[in-house]
Amino acid sequence: MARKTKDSCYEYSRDGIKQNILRNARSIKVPQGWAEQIAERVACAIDKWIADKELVTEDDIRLEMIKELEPLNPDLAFAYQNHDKII
Amino acid sequence: MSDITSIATIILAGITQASLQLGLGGLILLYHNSMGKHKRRKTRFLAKNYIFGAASITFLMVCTFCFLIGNFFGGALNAEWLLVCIGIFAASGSVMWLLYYRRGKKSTELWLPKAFTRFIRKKARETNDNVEAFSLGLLSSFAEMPLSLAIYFIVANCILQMHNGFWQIAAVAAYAALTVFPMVYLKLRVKTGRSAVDAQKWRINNKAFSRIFSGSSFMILAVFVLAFWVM
Repeated sequence: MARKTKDSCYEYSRDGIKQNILRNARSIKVPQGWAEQIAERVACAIDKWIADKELVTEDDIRLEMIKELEPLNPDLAFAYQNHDKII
Repeated sequence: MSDITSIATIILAGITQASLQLGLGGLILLYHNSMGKHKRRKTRFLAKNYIFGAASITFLMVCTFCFLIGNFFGGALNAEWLLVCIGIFAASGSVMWLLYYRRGKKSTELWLPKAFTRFIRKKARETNDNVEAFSLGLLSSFAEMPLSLAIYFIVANCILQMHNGFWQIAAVAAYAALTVFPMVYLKLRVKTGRSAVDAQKWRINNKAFSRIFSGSSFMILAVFVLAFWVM
């Protein structure tokens, strides 16, 4: 499974997704235990979603993460939605 | 011109510059990225240095313009130069009302070159020490220059009209402090339990308000300078 960015292509990493969610959760002060549960659930969902795909972009993964995060923690979903719209 | 008029102009100019959004946006980015990576204490220091950087460049810019006016304009701007500044304020006010934010309901993106915003975003993500945070603060304040240049001119002119040397220095420092007030307020909010996401939500919900406030501040400043310094 490969993840494609603008000018590079690299392997999808479940751990990378989890770490990314944990980092963002910490920055919006989500309690540690809850953040780990969210990260686990979203990583599972992304695993399932990506299983039948050969090549996806980072934006595709982000959109899927937002979809999964929305019911779990709207603030976290908001952080992903707006990460490049602050300035 | 009395000291009271100078002080009133400086306060109005400070509020106008404080309403610009790039510095605040940069600080929100820095907070969001740093709180996920570092301990709270380190994030606090990074934010403090960012704000200090933004205040320092403002302080230095006002001092530079004082020097320029003192040496090249005979110690005070004449009516023509004041009218040029008023024209720039009016143009800036219109720009704020119409074009300051890019289109899009859920975004506070500003009309800046994409490469530049990418650079600030990248720097905010990678900032790990106090010097980097300080220079990011300098950079984001410096980048507002197209809108704040005429403000610096007017503030420097007002400061030079004050009669006491001590008050002149105090006025430059107070002006610099006033321009970073929104950043200090954000820092206090984060310290009392809010997050950068809360601040960003507020900015999105009140985008129209901040646009009208900034634009109107420029217009009011233009009218104020015209009424008290030109006429």
